[in-house]
Amino acid sequence: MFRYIVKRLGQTLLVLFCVSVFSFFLIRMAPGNPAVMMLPDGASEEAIQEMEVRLGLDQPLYVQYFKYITGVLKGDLGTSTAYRTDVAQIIAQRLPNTLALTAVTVVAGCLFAIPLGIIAGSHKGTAVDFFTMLFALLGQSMSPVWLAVLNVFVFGVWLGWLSTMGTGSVAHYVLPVATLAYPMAAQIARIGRSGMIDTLQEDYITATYAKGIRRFTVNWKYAFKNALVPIVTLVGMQTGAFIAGTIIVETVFSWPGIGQLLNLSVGNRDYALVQSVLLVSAAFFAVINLIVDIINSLIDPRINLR
Amino acid sequence: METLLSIKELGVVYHTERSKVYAVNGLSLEIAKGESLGLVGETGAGKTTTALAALNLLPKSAERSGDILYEGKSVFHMRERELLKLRGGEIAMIFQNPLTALNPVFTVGEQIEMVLRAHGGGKNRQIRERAGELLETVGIPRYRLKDYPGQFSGGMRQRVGIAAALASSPKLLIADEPTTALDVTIQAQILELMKELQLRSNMSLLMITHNLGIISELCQHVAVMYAGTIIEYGEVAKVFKNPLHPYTIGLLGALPKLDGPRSRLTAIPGRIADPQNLPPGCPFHPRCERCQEECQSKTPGLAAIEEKHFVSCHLYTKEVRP
Ligand SMILES: Nc1ncnc2c1ncn2[C@@H]1O[C@H](COP(=O)(O)OP(=O)(O)O)[C@@H](O)[C@H]1O
Ligand SMILES: [Mg+2]
Repeated sequence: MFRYIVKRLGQTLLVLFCVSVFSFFLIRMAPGNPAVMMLPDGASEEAIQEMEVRLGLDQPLYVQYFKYITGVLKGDLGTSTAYRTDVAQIIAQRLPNTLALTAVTVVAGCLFAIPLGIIAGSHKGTAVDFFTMLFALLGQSMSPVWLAVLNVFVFGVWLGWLSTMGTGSVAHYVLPVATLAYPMAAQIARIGRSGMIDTLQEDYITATYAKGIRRFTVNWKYAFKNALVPIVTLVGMQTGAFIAGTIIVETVFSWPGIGQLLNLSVGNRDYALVQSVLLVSAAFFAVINLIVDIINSLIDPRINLR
Repeated sequence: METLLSIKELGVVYHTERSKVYAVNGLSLEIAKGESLGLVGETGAGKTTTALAALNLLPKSAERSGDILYEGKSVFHMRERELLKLRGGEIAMIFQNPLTALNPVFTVGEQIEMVLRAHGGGKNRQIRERAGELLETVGIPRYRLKDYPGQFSGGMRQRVGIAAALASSPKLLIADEPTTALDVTIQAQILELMKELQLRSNMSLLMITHNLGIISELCQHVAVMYAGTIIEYGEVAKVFKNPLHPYTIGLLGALPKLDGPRSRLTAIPGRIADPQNLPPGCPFHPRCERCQEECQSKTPGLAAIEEKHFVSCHLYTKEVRP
């Protein structure tokens, strides 16, 4: 187990290196110039050149990259051109917001969707199953953008029940969490249902009934654990992919997390900030995947960590 | 002898999307207390279906008729609470395929302990202790309680299945082809173990198999099953020495003899009756060498030919014409 974790962390470092290279060159391939963005409109050519020198943009790309990566290794993520402060500091300020949004969404989604999937799967063909599938189908066919806008209009503007801007109270969580959690819950419910249906057809479930175990225990103790492995994998993948979803949701709901930050920084051509946000997201993704593998190996002994 | 389990005119039809499968067709059978009965038949004859019916564990797609009485009480009409006691407590079952009959994500210990907890209960420590004893009874050291099924061979897993079945000291053990999926040498070990345990505990045994050798080793009575019904029944010695039904004769002929001069292996020509499309009359008639006109239209009933020997065949129920 320990050796496995070390090995995985090694792989993760390699992935992060690739991400750093890609994000570095991709953002520089986009049209636009951070030096221009930092100066007032109509700045002179000399002023722009002077600013480029100050930012180090006049140097060859590989030199810039080398400076950037050695800085990262020393814990220095650079300075944001738009905010004129330390990138690490900005991210540290916003990351907790995104993590809180992610954590609440994942927990809420799981608490709702896992039992729903298990009940639907163990009551295949009943009304519960039918409505679960309907719920899942709707959730999977709605894009986050559409759902976010719908939520803002219906609950924020039209009904006026809930706040659609910023953080601060529990009520602030409702709409962003619902927007992010619904498509996720839809998928979890589906996977949970089909995992349960497959499991309940296994010989060992008939054998468990033949031992005089009641239906509730068979479903929620014995079959549940078998159906859990694909659920954990899915939740992990979704959590990792969340950053993408949070860009939309944080922007729509003015949630001051790193999704919103990424959106703003790309607009500002804030090279240092974009690179670092992508790097942090990738690290987040890698760690989640590692955790998923470890949890699954604990649930199902047939999954060997090697 | 007192009757423990009595199957009366059992019929089971599986309704699938495309067709109806007539898996069991008017099967009657009795098992006395302490008796060991062999149920022989080819794959698809309806043996597993019959066993699951005795536990009231048929899937929803199965339509049943007839009745099964356990100690005089209808299994089909039992309440949930009685059923939970019956399953695993009164009647335990060993499944055909040990590789699929144990849940891969729970320890072997848990799969024995769940029986103990459901029937009797007790403190956790006592249950663990008892599970260890059971494992040792079937020849596996107790420290392996915390291992998962995937860490055991097929034969070992079947031993675990036996240990779990014996955990509640059931009155009837149904063993559904317990050795079919195993190597020949392992088969012999498992049979030896079952024989020993049955002698020791005085429980009834329903040994389902298509291996006649197993029957003569373990059983007092044998029922031969074809297309979901019993076509011959009697004491093992009588049936084996003097088989009556052409199917039984064929089965015994198909058994290679280990001692004495090796007779030619006479397999029964043709294939087992298709339960989705059963022939009219005697279900065996399309394969029968001695088929007569009557056999093609009239279903024969089980009739006593000598004491404790019954057959369901037109050849014996009326005077055979020369
Ligand atoms: N759940 C089921 N649905 C439909 N058909 C089934 C089902 N279980 C068994 N059958 C069919 O019923 C017949 C008898 O099966 P089974 O009782 O398993 O026979 P055996 O144990 O003697 O091999 C077979 O034709 C089998 O395909
Ligand atoms: Mg079978």
